[in-house]
Amino acid sequence: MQINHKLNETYWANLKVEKSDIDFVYNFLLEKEIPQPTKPLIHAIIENRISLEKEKRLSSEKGDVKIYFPKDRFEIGDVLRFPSLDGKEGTVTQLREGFNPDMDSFSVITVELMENEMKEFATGVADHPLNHIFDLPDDDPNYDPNQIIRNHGENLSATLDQALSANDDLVMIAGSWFPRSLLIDIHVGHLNLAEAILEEANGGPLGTSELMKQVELEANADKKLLEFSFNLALQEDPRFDEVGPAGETLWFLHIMEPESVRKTPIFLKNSVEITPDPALDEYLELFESTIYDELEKQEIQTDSAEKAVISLTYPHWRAGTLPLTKTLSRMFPTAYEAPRVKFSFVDNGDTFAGWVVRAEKYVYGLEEWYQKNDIIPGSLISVSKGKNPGEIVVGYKRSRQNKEWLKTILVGSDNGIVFATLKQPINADFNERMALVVTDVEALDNIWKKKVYLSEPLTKTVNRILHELIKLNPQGQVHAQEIYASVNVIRRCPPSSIIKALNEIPDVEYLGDLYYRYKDKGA
Amino acid sequence: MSLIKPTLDTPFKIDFDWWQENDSNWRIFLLDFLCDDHRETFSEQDDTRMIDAIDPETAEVTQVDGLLYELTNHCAKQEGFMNTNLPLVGQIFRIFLANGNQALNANQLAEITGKAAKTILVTIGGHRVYKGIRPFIN
Repeated sequence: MQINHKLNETYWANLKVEKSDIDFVYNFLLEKEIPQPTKPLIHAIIENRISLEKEKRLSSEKGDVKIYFPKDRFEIGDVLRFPSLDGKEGTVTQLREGFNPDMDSFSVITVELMENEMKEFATGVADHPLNHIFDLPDDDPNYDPNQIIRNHGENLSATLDQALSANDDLVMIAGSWFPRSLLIDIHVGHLNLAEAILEEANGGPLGTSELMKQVELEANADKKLLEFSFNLALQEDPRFDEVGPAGETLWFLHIMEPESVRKTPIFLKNSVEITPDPALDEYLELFESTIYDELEKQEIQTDSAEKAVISLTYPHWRAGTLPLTKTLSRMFPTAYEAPRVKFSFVDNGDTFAGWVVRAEKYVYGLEEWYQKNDIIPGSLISVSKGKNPGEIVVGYKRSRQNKEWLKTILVGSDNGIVFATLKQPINADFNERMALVVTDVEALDNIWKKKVYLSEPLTKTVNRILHELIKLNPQGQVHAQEIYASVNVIRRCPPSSIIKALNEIPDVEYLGDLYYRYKDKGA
Repeated sequence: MSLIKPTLDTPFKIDFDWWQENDSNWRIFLLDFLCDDHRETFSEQDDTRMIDAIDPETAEVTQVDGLLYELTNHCAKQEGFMNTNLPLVGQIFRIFLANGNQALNANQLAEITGKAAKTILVTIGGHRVYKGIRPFIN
């Protein structure tokens, strides 16, 4: 007989953190006396739940009611519970010897169940599967905390973090939790000193230990607890920003962070309402694999990215940033909770600062690098993990030609956009559909600052751009990627919004393979 | 008494009540189907004794005819019990003993025996009852 163990795959996959778990975590932290990361807490909760389940099983055998196992012997008058009958209970009313030539001696009990139902059951049978229904299988991964964490750790961590966050008396710093009431008070004087020290260090970043040393923070308490308390005090003070990648706590003076880190550049601000539309998936699948757009709800690329080549769009070129899609975010340093993470870009031995701005989904720090290397919108930028943790190697492939015929953006005095194909000097390899040369950055900046095109529907902007691009093509058709790259020169929107707009323009028809044209009016 | 005309989908099984009503020597007939060990056991004791059969899932005890129990649960499962050289009725009889007398229709029996389903239906679905094999109507 198969008895479904309560702690099965579904149980762990759908685990909800109960108040009893929170109480358990609280007591666990009190006992440990030092902050604990989520993972050991998950491990402890899993062990606790398994242990409670085992206790529950044992407790069911206590008291007057006995669990019926065929191996046991019973007396008349015994009250039994039958796991094989959904826990029904009954009283033994008769006892006799059993007869079966194929078996060793055994007894048969007559049991009166509820509603006077009488049944006979075998007793003294050592070899019966029912004897083992409550056994915990040694090799069941659902009773092995390490295996459970391997299978469900990510999900369980997120669930626990969410549940603990809702508890005001528990605080998390750099992935570790501790009861707020047990923290050491940090005097504001120490925070003022930390501010001065970070200012001296050009804003930072400095690790907590280093800061503690410099502000001469000491207390008659565990060093880890003191560090945790100091971290919390820094975190709750808006002057400081925790910018370390996961596992490392580094502090930066918020006011000294680059402006484009503290505030999202105007070029990256979304200009359209995005609602996921499954009907657009088939179009998005046709976009080239170098298209990464942080605004896109539906990931165009889903492969794990150890190395990625990105077709740079105008907004990111102008802001000196890269998109941080879900796929790319696996490559860049991440953090437990810090909204901004500082790391290093590396290019041929040169190292310069980079910032992951998690909430706004972009990576900042490439403005100078783009200028220095004559990168243009549409250039193909490669990024990969560096040798050292927290390092990202950035690069590009040099173009074979020195000059190329490229779409060049001309801005009229009325802020209108015109494209002309002109021969332009080129340095980096580029995406032919997306390469654009900007001759007057200031004029385009003016369009963004004055939000010239934001007041009109996206269909109108897309139609304008399509109208201009079609002039460059003798066949009168334009690829959606060209339109996407060109529209983003004047307003920010993801590929799906472009496709949606194109499909909504009555005069435009889809030719397949992401090509669009105006309908033939004579047809 | 109502008569039904069996079709290829009509289930059949051994009706042991039919045996009791129509052949007083039916237990002797069944002894021939026992394996050597059980034939010896039952020749030494009362072959009508009831056995306490223990349910493999719930351990609930039901008293069953000892001879039929051993025949269907042990002897019919021994190697060589099924014999394709036997006449069709003999083969079908053994099939039901071996499967614990679970009802099967002519199509299913045809798959097991390799004989035509229509031939099977004509053989066991007529007026004459062979070895207690009769249509089983729930």
